[in-house]
Amino acid sequence: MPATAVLTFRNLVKNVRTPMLVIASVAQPLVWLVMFSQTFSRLADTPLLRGLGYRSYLALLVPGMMVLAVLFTGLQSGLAMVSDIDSGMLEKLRISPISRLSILLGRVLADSVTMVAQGAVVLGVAALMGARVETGWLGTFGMLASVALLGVVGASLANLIALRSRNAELTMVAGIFVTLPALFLSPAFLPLRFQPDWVQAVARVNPASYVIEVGQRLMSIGNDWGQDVRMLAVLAVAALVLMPATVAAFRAATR
Amino acid sequence: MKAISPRPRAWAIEVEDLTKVYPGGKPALNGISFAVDRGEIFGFLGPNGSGKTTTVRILVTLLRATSGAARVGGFDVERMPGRVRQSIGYTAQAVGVDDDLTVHEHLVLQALLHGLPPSREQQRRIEEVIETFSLSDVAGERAGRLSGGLRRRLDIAQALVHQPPVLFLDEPTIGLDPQARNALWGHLRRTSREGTTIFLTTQYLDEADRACDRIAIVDGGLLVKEGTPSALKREVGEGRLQLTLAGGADSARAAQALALSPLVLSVEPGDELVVRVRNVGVGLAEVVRLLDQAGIAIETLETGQATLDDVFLRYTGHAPRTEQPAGGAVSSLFAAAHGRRRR
Repeated sequence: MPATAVLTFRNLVKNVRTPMLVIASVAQPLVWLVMFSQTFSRLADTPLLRGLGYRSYLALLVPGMMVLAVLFTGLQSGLAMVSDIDSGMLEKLRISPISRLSILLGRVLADSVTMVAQGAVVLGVAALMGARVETGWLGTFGMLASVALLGVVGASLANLIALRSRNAELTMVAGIFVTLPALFLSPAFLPLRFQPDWVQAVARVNPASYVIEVGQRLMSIGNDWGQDVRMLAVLAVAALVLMPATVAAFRAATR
Repeated sequence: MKAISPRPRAWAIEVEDLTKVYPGGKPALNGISFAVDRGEIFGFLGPNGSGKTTTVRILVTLLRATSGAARVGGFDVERMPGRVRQSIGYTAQAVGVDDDLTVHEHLVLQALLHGLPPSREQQRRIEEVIETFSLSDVAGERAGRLSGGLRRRLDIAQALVHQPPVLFLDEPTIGLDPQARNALWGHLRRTSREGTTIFLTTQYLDEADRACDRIAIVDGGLLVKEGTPSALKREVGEGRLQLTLAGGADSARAAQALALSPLVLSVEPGDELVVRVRNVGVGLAEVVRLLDQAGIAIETLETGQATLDDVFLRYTGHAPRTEQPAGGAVSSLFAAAHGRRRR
């Protein structure tokens, strides 16, 4: 049995064993989804918004909340790495006759499965509240896949910090420090055209913005291949910047 | 997984002139050489900071040596770490278990990672180590709920489930009560009889004495002495006499009388006089004769053979520290609260 599969399974089993962690990272976005869609509905659910093509303010909120869920899970991926270092499990893996890469791949794959599941939960709750994906199953799949890709990039950053610091508190603080601005400096809560120029400028270099915009379009309007390609390119660049650093940190930690 | 090809007269572990200087310039090993035969229990004995753990970590491919060479199961740790990893089981000083997984799952995980696919054979191996380490009552429990002793046993069971030819144990008995400690030694001797080579480190001299086929004494990153426990004790050849004097005789005067003899190595005066002699047999007669001459009557007299403590003292010049430092419990609590660092 390939080590990557074994380790993916092990990481997923761990998630199931401490479901509070998985639930906690999806509970926050769900609370926000309900709260913001209610409190801002009068202010935001306007003909102006609908004129731009959005079905509802709720529909606009959904992709951002999916992104929040996967970024939290990415952060937990880093925390799990610190925990494996502390518990001695990483050392156990290092003295096993398996490829070093399978240790990292096992984590990424388990994270991705968790992220897709969390995205689906957010979409499901939104559906219960009356939002539906206009682009159907294909659009739903696209949204889940794109948020999971972003989540893996986020997990790469969290693991980089975790492997360099070997400190759970620091990973946590750094993760939250990155996650919330990534969400607020994006169209997650309001279309970018209603936001100040500087926010628009920052959003242009924020990979989360691209994923959220694609999601919002898939929720309400329809697919735009040009936008999809732009998003994939931005995610690829982010991955190319981050992942070599993470792999290098991992190599340094595992020789 | 390929079988490790047997070589003629191959040692299980060979270490040649190994050195390790940690970043920052602190030397941990200053050129250590030794060899361990197949099926042996080899004890690496030394105080904290003597280089025991550094040696083990180099041998299990977790750490790179600065210079020198080491082979485990015939494979060079630097050039063929993958093959070395196929040949070893290892437990670190700090127990390495996953609190979220059950005892049984730990063993399945280790079996899978070492290329033992789900099969009758895998089941049999797992049942065997569960039996050996008396873990059957807790096989379904998550490791987080186990006591320290059980966690240690699980850790060693994990290291053995894939039947490695060479087992490395870094201070395996630390934190165990005497009963658990004895049970563990029983398990290890059984494992060794089945052909597994065991390399272990310990600060407990009495344990090394009873359990190891051969021991090496390390101090300050150097191997100061190597041999069978009995040979080492014989070589030191010291005997320890403890005597009390009748009628409140002056122990300082007794010490003076004894110090004249070349057979007497040292005398510690006190309520109980401790006399080290070169040889218990001859030394005992000499002590009795000298005290008799000085007119000092002996009330009680006990003799003891040389212990490994004596061996250690003799070759390192200082007594071994067999006790945990007093701050140990507190500092480990602190470490747990603040995230343990492994390096």
